[in-house]
Amino acid sequence: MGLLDKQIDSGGVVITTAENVLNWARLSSMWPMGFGLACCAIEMMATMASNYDLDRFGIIPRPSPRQSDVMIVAGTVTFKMAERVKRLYQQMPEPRYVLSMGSCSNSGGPYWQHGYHVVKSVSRIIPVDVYVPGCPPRPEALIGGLMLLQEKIRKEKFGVKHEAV
Amino acid sequence: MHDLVLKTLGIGDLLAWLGVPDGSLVYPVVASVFPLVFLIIFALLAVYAERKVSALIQNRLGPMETGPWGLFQTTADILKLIQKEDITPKAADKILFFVAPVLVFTGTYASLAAFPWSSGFVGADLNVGIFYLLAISSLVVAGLLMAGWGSNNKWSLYGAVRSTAQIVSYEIPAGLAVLTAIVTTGTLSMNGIIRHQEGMWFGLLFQSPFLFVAFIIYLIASLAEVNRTPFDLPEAESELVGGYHTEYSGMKFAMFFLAEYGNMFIVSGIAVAVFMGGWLTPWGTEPSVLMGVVWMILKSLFFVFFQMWLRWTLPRFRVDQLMYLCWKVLIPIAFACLIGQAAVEVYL
Amino acid sequence: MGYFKDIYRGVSSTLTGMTLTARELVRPDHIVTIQYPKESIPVPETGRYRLHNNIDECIGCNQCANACPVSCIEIKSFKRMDKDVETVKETQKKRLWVEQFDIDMSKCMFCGLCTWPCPTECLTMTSVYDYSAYDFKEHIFKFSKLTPAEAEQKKAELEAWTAEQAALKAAAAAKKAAEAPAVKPETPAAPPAEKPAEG
Repeated sequence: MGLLDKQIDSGGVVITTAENVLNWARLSSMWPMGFGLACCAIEMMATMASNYDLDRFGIIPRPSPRQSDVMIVAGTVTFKMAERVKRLYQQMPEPRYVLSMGSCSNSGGPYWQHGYHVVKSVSRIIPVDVYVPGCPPRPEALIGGLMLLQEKIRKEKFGVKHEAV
Repeated sequence: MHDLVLKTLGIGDLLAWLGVPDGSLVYPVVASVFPLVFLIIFALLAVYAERKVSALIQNRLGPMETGPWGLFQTTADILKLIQKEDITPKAADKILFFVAPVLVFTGTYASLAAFPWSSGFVGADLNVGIFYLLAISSLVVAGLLMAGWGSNNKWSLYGAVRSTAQIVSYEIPAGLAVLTAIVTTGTLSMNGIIRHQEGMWFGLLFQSPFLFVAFIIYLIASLAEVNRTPFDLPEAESELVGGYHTEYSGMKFAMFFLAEYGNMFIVSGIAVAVFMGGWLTPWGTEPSVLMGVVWMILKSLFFVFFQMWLRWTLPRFRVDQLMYLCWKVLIPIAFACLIGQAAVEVYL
Repeated sequence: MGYFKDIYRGVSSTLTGMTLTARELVRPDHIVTIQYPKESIPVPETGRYRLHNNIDECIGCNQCANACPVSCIEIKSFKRMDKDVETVKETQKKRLWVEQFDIDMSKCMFCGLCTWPCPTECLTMTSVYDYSAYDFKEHIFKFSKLTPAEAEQKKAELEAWTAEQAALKAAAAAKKAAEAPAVKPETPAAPPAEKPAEG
């Protein structure tokens, strides 16, 4: 404790434990497999574009699930797509995280009552870490959600599996 | 070379003080670690530079949050890739899957053995230096094919096969362009080629129009050799998910990444050595040994930047356009340059 | 000679492109990034983001729940006693205790249709858009201020009071029937019709 855990100055070099360094590495370089299914995909693309650059946080979209850390489920998850979502989630290497973007993937959204084709929340298929509300969420809201995920990663402990499934 | 490296950096003295006998294998082993270290540091900075350059071209800021101005971004990337689970698909060919990234990286690292850092700093001053360099970069092709086939994934296979066709085809204009310069220098040894350019402003580049065109052809062909845009169809996302590296995760993927950036540096280095005077100063004089290294690296870095610049300017080629460009445009022009330069040499 | 024209076009278009990108590379004033969270642009006044209900002004009329296309507003209310009836915004009367007023923002589609029929304009769309959570149950916003204990208590009081009122009315009616002269015995001395239960 004490000097070893203190910051030298704000925004400068931080001397800390190996756990913190590893967590910092994981949260500074989250590579999403942007799973853009519907309208939220447009907002996700807008967030990755120049106006609200996500590359500032080190977030580059990867095409393949094998190379990505976080899966941003953006859009309505239908039953047909649900199988594929599950399969792609299983193809991601651990440690992996899921961020549910928009009302439809959070809880079925506008289709919760009468949508016979919609999975009422992607958390019924895969374990979700952060839910970003909105229909669709503003790019700033998505950035806020990703920062919340960063906070979660920051607090992770060695050797504790973070997902139940 | 290893004597110079070790002498300049004082490590030779350190090892001698430690009691390592003269002429033992420890010296070359330690000396050969230096290109590896350079490769890793270069890849670190090149990935960061690419992200920043691409960002500024696109009117945005690149990595900013990971340390001041995002300088620790690549470190974070590598640390994260180390922590990832290493997945081998169940139906993949285990040996091929494992060896592919190793082979691709080996092709890159082995090229650094004959890379002319400076007049004293050459790993092995072969008298067939340039031939060796062109040949060893073809080892990468074997690695790519292994990656594509071994992944047991149709996208990987398509990507690998397209990549192989591309690399093998573009080796011809690249070789012909280099041959145009060899016709002038008369020697295949790297340091010999560079020494021949002493006294010329910017080396062989402006000596003759044929050499200038040959240089342009070599630049284009080398882009195709390293799978950079506009020739990056094998990695195109919208076409092939990820091409030959779709199924790789974690450190194996990091190897492919490292090899790609290493290759960028090597082909820039070859272009600089053959056409622009290598480790000579731009006005043709021979600098000191250390300054030679500096000049070599600076000139190569300029062409690495050129490759990044070109990447964010042009859209990618379709595979048939790519083949058309190689066989119907670059090869005839390269032949013409070769014959023209040979004529110039004989008659002038 | 389309072959040479193609080559010329290829080279010249590449050079044009490269000058363009080179020019953009060295123009820091062209950077358009808004570095959220350090800086952010204000949202429009009429922007539709998170809902907020000013429960002190809510009269429990259920218009917003009826208007919502996705039924994400749940309202449960019960009658207030006469002495508890309050006036809101000079014209509307609060005749109901709103026991439950839940809006599930994870179902909401931010159309704003619920804000139009509200008579007191207590339901508004604020400019709050950044409220992610680790569980989507945290997106159910409960606006009612009545605790379950208070609600039970008020319901019990209401029942008692209603019973009392009914008893009083019955007594008054009986008294009136007794006082009225038995002139027309066939005229039914029926008590006046009961006031409608809703206020």
